Amino acid sequence: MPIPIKGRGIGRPDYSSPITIDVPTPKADRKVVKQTEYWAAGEISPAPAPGGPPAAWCVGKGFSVEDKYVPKGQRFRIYKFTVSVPAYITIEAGIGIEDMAGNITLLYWECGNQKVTIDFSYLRPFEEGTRPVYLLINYGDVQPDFVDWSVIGVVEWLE
Amino acid sequence: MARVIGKGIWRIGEEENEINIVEVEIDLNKVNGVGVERLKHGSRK
Repeated sequence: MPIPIKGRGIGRPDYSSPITIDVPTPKADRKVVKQTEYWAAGEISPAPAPGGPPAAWCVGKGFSVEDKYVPKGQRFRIYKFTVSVPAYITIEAGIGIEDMAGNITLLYWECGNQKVTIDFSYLRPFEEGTRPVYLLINYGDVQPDFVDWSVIGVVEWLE
Repeated sequence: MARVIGKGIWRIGEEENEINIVEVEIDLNKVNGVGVERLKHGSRK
């Protein structure tokens, strides 16, 4: 026999109403005039050692083949970052923002077995003069030969 | 000069290039945000 759920006002939430969630989104302060896809993938070797310090890396000169940081008038958004290792071990991947002074603000870490994916909902845009730093910790017992990773995002040109 | 720890492919728009993946040297005094202790202590082991 179903147990009747009584309404609000007597110590129970009102389940008869739809639950709304307000998600804070960044306010667009500058108009985006152009968007271009950004994609990078590669392999680093060797993987971080078990119990050792994290591997920390970036691409090219820092942000791209030519730029150390997100260029002036642009903004970079990561859609998805994936990292995997050829061993069934626990890994933890992280993403941080590094500015030109070398200050790093860590945004998010995700733990998983063999593979970790971080998507945009945990991150914020990388403004001009900053760049993403990718991190990986090995919680396993073995050191894989390499780490496979990829990142896909969009570069926005701002007005 | 940053140490190259891997190779990869990078693409923006129609432009595609081979890239080096370079190590980032982290100054622990300049790190903040979530999970800083992970950098200081490495693995939980």
